[in-house]
Amino acid sequence: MHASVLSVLLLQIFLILALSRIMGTLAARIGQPKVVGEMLAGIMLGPSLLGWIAPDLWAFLFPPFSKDLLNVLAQIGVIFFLFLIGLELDTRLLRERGQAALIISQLSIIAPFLLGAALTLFLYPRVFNDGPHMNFTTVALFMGAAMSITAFPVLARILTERGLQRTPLGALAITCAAFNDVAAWCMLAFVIALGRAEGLVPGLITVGLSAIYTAVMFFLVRPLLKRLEGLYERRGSSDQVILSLIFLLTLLSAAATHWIGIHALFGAFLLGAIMPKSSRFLNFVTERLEGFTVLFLLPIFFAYAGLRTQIGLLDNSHLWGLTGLVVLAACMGKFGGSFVAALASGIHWRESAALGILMNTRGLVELVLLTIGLQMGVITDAVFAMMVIMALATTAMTTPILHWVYPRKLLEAVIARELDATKDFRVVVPISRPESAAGLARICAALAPGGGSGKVYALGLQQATIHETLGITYPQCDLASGEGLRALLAETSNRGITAEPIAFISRDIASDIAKAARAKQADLILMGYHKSFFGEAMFGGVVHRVLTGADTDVAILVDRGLGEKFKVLVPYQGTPHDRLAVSLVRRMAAHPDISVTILHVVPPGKASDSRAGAAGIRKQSFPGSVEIWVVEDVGPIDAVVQQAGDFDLIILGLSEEWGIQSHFFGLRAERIAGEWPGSLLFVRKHAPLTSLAGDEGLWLQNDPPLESQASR
Amino acid sequence: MSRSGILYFGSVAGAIVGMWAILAAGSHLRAPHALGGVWVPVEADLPGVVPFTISQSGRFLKLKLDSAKPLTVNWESETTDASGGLTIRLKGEGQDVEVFVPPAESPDNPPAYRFVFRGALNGTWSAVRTGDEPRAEASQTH
Repeated sequence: MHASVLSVLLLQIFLILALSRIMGTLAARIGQPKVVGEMLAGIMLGPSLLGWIAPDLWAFLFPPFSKDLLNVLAQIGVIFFLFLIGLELDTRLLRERGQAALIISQLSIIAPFLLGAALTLFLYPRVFNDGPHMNFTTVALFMGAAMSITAFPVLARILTERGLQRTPLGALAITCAAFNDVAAWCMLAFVIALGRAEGLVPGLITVGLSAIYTAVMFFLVRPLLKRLEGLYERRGSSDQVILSLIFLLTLLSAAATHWIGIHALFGAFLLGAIMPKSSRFLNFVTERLEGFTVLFLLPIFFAYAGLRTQIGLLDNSHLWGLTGLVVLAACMGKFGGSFVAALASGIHWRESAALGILMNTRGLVELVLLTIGLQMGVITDAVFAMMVIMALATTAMTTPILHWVYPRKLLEAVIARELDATKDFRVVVPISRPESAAGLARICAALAPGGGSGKVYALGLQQATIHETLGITYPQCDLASGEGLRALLAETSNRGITAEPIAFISRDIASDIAKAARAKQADLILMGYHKSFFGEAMFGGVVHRVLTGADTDVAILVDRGLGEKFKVLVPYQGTPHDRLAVSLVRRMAAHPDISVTILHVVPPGKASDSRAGAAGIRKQSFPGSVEIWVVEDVGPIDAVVQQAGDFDLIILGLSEEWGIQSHFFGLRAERIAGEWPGSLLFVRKHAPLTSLAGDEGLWLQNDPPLESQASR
Repeated sequence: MSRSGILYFGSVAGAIVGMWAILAAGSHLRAPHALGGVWVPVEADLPGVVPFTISQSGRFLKLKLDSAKPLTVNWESETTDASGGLTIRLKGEGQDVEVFVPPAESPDNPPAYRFVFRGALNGTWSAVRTGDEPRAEASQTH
């Protein structure tokens, strides 16, 4: 390479990387994805800005001979970028998300595809010409594909930046975008094959070779990649040979598809898509490839695309009108298709709208597709400029409109709710008597339906004998020896819950329960209680000491024959303990065999003011069905006992006077327990009451007030 | 059939029917004749004739003559004569241009197009296209 060529190239790359970084940072500052700034940087370096305001400088910085070199670097960048996109594609998502994801994905492709193709009826006689690759069919299919694309990486970045990736909405959007990716690249491969094929026979040869290539990738290359993964697992991350092999395979696959006639990008994408998806191996490859590709090669691609973007071609109102039409059609097709499909799938309008907005993000992937179209001669320069503006506009509008549809406060509440619902709920269950096991296991199953979102630690403690306490002997505790523990493990196992047994000999059972809960970062200590309420405390006051001493929420089950299916009543007066009770039944409400009713007792004439006490509880925050009753009664305890007739379990937040020996569970709790024969679950929130008074984290401040005002 | 099943198969059927209708409707459409490229005059009655370039986006064209500012012209009309030749009328920036496209079966290879200029620039050129339409990196359009 001639020294001056190298100097020019290095200067160009320096400029491109510097401007790209600056614009990306500025975009991030104003709440936009960085890709918007990077795309703008590319356009700024092209004829649309630099070439317009300083043509001589532009001609010096980007002389025609250097463009081919930039093009090669840009193409290599896009090849590895598409490999990374394929790598991120997890086909299990498509299989696991169910029908809603399938239908939304499908409609979010079909609607913009048809609208893009229909728009071509209007654009074709105006901004296309009868060039060799611009026949109507090829152009209509290309425009359809260009309209229906979603930028998977930009979408993922927006979801992460907004904290949406762990919500059902985020998961659905990612799934649909992944499906879109696969479908859009397949469509484009078809369009390219159609555009390049000169006659039926070459077209059929391309299709045949593509089928052979795909078969080779799935049946020969994929097993090879699995062996590479195995090799990596054995040798570790220091092995550069594996990485070199992956690079070689990427280039080979890209070259194969280029030779077949369906563009080099497909080879890279497919190789990424069939790579083994074990997280360690995936991280190993991604970490080594992503930085160089995204920070170095992609900005060069943006610049190359920018050099080919001539906004100046749109120099009259007619062309700007057409540009507006293209943007409108793109938004209507993508947003409308996703929105309607999501609504039809039973998704709330706000989330449907958010999904539509997210799917409308096109970003970099659109730019890749448009560059292919321009290189193939399927679109003209003016159409390229229009579509680049559309890609920029749809990407830039995503975040602000998402903010508008999904305000930050509401989003935070949703995320908090989701995190609460999906969190690995940990329960420590101390057990000594086998007869407690069934009831406790039932409550565990109710709190973590299916056992999928919970973890149960079965704690079998044996009181140390005097000899053991004095250290004379300290035998290993045999897990099997505790009848209670054995019974609990059997009962949880019967309900599909894997309980982790913990057994040891304890000098101070109450203290060790609290310590075990702390060590396991438990959310709840769930204990049984069988003694008569007004008698002496059982376990030598263990329950009382756990209630007063543990720094974890505590629930005490008084099992009076609780069945597998049960109806739960939660008296609610707004204390922190009542709120804990409501948060627990919110988990239970997801269980199909459990029906939940929240009872808010208010003084006569105050039912309409019940918002003050029950603000924040709304039906929608419950995963299953729930009834909320507001009753007026002078005596809250009488009202609860009166209403509790049909119920199997009352979950009762402890009164604030709990802990006083004369009212072991508090006056209210003890009266209800004494006057009602069913099972009870007493709950106690662990934090000091002063801090609990301001604990609004669990409650949705923006939610509407109590919805069901069915006074009884 | 469930609602999701109806949606699924309905959308597939809709896509097929819709695409068929669009392609059928579009098969009758004609895009403007491709004029973009580098043109070399083979016969001219204008002095100082040099190769010129045309950038085309459908009905919107830019003619770049020598180092002068590109001339923006728009597609006005297009007529086909009995022999199959095409006459294209372009207009813009006080300039009228008529382009006579020889019939497809013209014996010339490459075929020579006749450009008739009326306005600020007057004269007639016969020119042949020697290269593809120049892309952004090789031409400035402002």
